[in-house]
Amino acid sequence: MALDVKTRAKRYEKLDFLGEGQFATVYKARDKVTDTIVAIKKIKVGHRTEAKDGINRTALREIKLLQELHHPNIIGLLDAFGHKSNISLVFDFMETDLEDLKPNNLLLDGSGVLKLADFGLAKAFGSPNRVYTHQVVTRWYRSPELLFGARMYGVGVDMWAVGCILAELLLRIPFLAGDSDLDQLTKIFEALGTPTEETWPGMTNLPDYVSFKIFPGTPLEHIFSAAGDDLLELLQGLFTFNPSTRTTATQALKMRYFSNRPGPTPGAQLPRPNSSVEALREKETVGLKRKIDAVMKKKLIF
Amino acid sequence: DLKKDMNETFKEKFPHIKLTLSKIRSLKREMRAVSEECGLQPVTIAMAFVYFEKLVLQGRLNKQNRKLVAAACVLLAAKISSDLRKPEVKQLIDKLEECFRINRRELIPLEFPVLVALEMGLYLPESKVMPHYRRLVQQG
Repeated sequence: MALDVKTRAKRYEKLDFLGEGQFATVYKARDKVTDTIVAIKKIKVGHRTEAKDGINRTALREIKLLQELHHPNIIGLLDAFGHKSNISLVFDFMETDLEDLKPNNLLLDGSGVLKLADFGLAKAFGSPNRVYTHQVVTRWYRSPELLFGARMYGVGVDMWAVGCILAELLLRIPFLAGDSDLDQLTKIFEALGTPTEETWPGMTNLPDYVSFKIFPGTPLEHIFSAAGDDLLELLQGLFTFNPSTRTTATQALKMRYFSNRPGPTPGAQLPRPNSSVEALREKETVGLKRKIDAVMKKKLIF
Repeated sequence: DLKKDMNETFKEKFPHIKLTLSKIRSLKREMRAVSEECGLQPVTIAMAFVYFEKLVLQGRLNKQNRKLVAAACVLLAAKISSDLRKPEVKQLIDKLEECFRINRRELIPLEFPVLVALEMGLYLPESKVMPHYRRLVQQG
C-alpha cells in the first residue's frame, strides 16, 4: 500500500526544530503551496508496548475530531499524512510557545486570536516525563464533580476550568494547585467553602464521594481584591458547586462583565511576548515577573 | 446467471478492482456480522463500510489482503466510536481473528497503512455514512 507520501511531505519545507518528546517531534515548516508557516507534529506510533492493540484510540479520535471541527478559536488541522510508522499532523503555526503544544494550552496566533490546541493529543502522545505535568495541570482545572468520580457530566466541567483560568489571569499564579485529587478538593473547599447536600444536591451519591472537613471559605472579593463587582459575579457563577446550576457559556456571555467598559482589546493590538511593548514591560516589572515566571512557566499567554 | 452477469458488469465498469462484486459483498456481510457480535452500533459499521469501499475503489485489495483490510476497517471505525471500552478492543481483535481467519500479527501492522491510504481521513461527512446506515437499519 504505497502512497505519494513523498509528494505530500515535499509540500513542506522544514525550517526549524521546535521540540521533541518520546512520541512526537514538532517542526516549524513552510507550506510551499500556500507560502504560509505551519507547525508539523510528527507522531511515532510504532512503540511496541503501546501498539499491542494497534494505533492508540485517543490518537485516532483526536485526528477525527480535529478534521471535523472548524472554529476560529480552535487550532486548525491543515493536513495529515503518514509514512511507515509516523503520522504527521500539520497545524496552523502559532507565534507563541509552540514547544508546549499540549492540552489545556491557550495559544495566540499572529493576529492575537486565541486558539485552543491539541485536545488531549498529548495525553496519548506526550513524552513520559511530561505526562505527570500534564496530569497535574489538568487536575488544577478539574471540577469537583469530576474529582468525586462523576461518570455523567456535561459542559459544566469546562466552565469550571474557565473559572480557574480566569482566576489565574487575575492572580498570575494557578488558583487551586492541588498535588493529588484529594488535595485538589481540599484546596477547592478551603477557598470556596465545603459544599453540602443542600448547596449541591446529589453530591454525596457520587462514586468517589468522601466527606470533607467543613471549611467556611473565603469571600471571592477577598481573594480577588482587584476584581470589580461584575467580574466577581462571573467568577461566582463559574465556581458554583452544583453543576446543573453552574453558569453556562451562553449565560456567562450575557453577564455584565462582558458588556461593561472597558471593552476587550482588539486581538491585533494585544501585546505579544516578542513585541517591544511587552519587552519594555518585562523590564519594568522584572522583580514581580521573576516570581511569577517560576510558577507560570509560560503556561498561559495573555 | 444473474450473479455472473453482475460480476461481469462490475468488472467492466471497474477494471482496476481485482475482487468480484459478490466477494466485496460477502466481505461486507462478514464485517457486519463480527461488528454486531461485538456490539458495534450501525453508524460504526456504516463508517467501516465507507473506509472499506474507499480502499476497494482505490484498487488496493487483492486475494491476499482483502480479509485483513476488511478487519482493519472495522477496527479503525470501532476505535473512533465510543462503542467499546478499552478491554473490549482486545475482544474485538480476537473476534476479527476468528471470523476472518486471520492473525493479529498481520492485522495490527496493516492498520497504519490503511490509515495512510485513507489519507488519515477518519472524519466522514454524513452524506457518505447515511446511505450505508439506512441500508443497515432497514435490513434490520
